[in-house]
Amino acid sequence: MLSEIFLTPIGRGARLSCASALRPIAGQYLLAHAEGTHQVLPAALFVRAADGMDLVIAPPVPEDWLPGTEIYLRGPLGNGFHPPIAVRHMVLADLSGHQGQRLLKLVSDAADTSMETVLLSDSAPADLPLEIEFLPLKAFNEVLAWADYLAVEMGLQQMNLLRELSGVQTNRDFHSAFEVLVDTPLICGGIASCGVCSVRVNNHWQLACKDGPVFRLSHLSEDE
Amino acid sequence: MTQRERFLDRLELSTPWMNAAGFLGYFPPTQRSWGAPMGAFVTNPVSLLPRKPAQLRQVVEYPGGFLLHTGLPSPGIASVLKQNAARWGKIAVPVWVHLLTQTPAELPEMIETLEGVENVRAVELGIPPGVPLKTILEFIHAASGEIATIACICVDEIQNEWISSIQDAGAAGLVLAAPRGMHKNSNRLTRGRLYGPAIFPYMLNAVCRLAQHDLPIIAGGGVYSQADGETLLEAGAAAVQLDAVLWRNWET
Repeated sequence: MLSEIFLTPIGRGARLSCASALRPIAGQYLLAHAEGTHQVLPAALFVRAADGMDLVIAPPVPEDWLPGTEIYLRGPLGNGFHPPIAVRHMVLADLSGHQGQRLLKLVSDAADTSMETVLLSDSAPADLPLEIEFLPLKAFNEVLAWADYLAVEMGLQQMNLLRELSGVQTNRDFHSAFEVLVDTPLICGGIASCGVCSVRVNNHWQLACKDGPVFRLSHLSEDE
Repeated sequence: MTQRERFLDRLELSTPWMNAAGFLGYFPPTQRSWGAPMGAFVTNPVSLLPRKPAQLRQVVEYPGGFLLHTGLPSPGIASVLKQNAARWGKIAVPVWVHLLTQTPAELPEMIETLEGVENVRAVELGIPPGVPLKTILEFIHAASGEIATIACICVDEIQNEWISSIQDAGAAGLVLAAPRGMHKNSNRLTRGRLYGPAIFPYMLNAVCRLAQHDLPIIAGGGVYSQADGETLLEAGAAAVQLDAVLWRNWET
């Protein structure tokens, strides 16, 4: 059940009370539908934090969801982030305008509490934890040299911008551990293989809804 | 026997409910989200050769529905059969393979291949948009063989006077597929198929108009509740196909 809606500059976030089995790792998603609303397609939800039986959902959630709404959830779905165990310097970079909110669970999931984290984005969430340093996207290249792990969220159309910001020539030049959450419609949860979320990976077509939405950055093809 | 009973009997369908092509992949999931049991499984579109997704793939949501543009990617019939032919033989309902072709000349090879696949009882023939009746009939003739042919034409393109010719050409039924439309997204006009409950009145009107002929009509869109599907059946549809409603409310 949806227990709380909170407003942010990029849309409404939500708090859901749900079964403990539904605990996606960072980058995985839940497919959600509220009966009795005008929602036609299920919505892909990314968890920002888990708090007891509650899941804090990163914005945006559908506009007509209200506290008390019963939500059908399916998941966790897809492939999430898999950072190396011994990350000391983590960089989260959001090129998709979500303030990095879909990436923040990487910080709470990390085993090493001494890990240092930088968030690169156009703007920061108002409640960004103090232990995460916020920097604008123009600092990308400088911070990349410091990072031993990078998690990016972006649409495929932002690939050129990412290479420009990071100063690399090709995707193969990214460190093999760096990962990207591809911002694309996730509507069927892998049931249909409809192809709307197709991503070219290692010169083969894959589907973000089941093979992603997280991929190795160096594996994304540039010849789509 | 009513027309629907004859149709269900001929195609060995236990119920008049089934999925629309493109909404459950190439193999049915084990869990289900729809109350009524399915009478058939309809595959994603299958092309002769591998087919890439569209360069600009999009979903545009609007009140009452959504526009979907994917380019209908397909790994090609050889790859689809390699992965699924043996599995199709083991599922409890008949399989309808949706064929996606640009010309009738591609069909005989595909039909001959499918005739050797167990449990494939029908091919659903996706007719390209904007083609005249003469070409539609050429597609149907090219698909004739041991497997039943179901023509699949966009509901906004089908004309009353075509129905008897389609039946005479050998089609066992006609799917009224989701209509095409356009929408604006990120300052770009996008073409695609329209889905959602908003097209239900359009589909119901088409079923009422076309069900007066002898050719069994399958309503291929706009159904987002059991009541809407039953209304289409009462209006004369021989069967009903479900689309994105199958992506919601899954038992987990």
